[in-house]
Amino acid sequence: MPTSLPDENTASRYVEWLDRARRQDRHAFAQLYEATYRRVFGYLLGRVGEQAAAEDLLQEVYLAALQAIERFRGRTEGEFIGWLLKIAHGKVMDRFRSQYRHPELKTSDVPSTGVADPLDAIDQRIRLDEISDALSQLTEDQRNVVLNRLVLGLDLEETSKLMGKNVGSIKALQHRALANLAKILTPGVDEHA
Amino acid sequence: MRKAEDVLETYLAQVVSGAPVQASDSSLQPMLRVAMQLRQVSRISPSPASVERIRVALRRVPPRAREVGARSTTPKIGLWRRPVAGLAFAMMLMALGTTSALAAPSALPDSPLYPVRNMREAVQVQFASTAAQRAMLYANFAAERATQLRRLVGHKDVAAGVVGTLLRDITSRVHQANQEARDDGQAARSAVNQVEGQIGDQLSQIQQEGEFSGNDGAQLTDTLRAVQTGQSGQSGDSSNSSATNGTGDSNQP
Repeated sequence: MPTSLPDENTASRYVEWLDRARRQDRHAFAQLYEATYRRVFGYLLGRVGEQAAAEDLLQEVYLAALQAIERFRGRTEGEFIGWLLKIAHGKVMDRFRSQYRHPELKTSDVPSTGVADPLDAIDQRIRLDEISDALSQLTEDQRNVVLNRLVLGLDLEETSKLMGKNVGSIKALQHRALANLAKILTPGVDEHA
Repeated sequence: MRKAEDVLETYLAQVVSGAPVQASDSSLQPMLRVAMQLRQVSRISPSPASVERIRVALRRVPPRAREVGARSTTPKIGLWRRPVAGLAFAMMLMALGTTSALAAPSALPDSPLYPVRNMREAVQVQFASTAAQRAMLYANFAAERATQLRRLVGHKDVAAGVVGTLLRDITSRVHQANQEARDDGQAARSAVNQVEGQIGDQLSQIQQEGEFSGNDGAQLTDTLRAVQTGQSGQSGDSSNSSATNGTGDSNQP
């Protein structure tokens, strides 16, 4: 997870990859996929709370991105990630709408990874479905700010740029978001603690 | 006195960096516990199988209208092939007959000569030596179709299927014009934008006259949007929009 602005080499690599990908150079798009899929997956996992569903959506996001890449005009890593997250958000909303229409499709199973449980080594076992449900109760801005800061690992300035808000607003948003999440996930916690 | 948001941010920076966090303010503990749980989500990776599955899926997507290398200014076919393509086209024209060839430039989609028109345009593009020339050719081909469509609508003489094909071909040619112009500097973009402005005017007038409804009406709106998007130079980053992607051109030059 990058926690600082990309260095010059990274920046020039993205310019080149994006330029070539727009011309349907599949190798360049593959490089973009390799460089970004973990962060997009983290966002999706935070939103849907199921490993298998997040993996399916991850594929949908990159296939959609491949189809639309020639219309994407950004030139930086941040712009590309932001664009992918917009696509990801759309895919998540499509999934939620589909679940609303076909509630039998919704599952809340334990993540099925096909590999050893990646959470085993973590002291505080996280409850993905609960976190996802709690996130869904936040406002759009609150949800995005905590996903950008804590799941994507962006710093304040990067989050501010991505969301088009000033740093002060981001700080206030994340405070409110975490207070609300704490209240939802930890019964008995005062919202204004 | 520091605001609560600032104090929280200090701890969050530590959470993001992976440093151990010990908040002196107990009221922050529930929030930091949630923050650490969220941070742990980022450590979960997709399974290697799914990562590979997506790699394969991305490779399997068929290429779009054209598959080119690192530079779009690369000719679509090698220079040595252009005379060959021209010769082949000339022979085909002879086979079709001079009359047909002369009639082809204005042939409509319901005419058997429309494919000849498309091929004629394709050869013109192949012989263009610069991206700017190719951009103007595409833009002019689109403009000719817009003018024809306007005339047909004026005479209320539109055969079934003609509108859809003309609009689709306008969209694809505008898209290709923008692609070529994008790599050839401001002058090429301005020239293409000027032609797009004329196309936009024609299509707007058709739309205002309200002759089309249903699919044709929707397609007219999409084409108009594609032309205007090309003019403004905006990408339209929605993954759902297909207005400017040039798909569906059955007679791609």
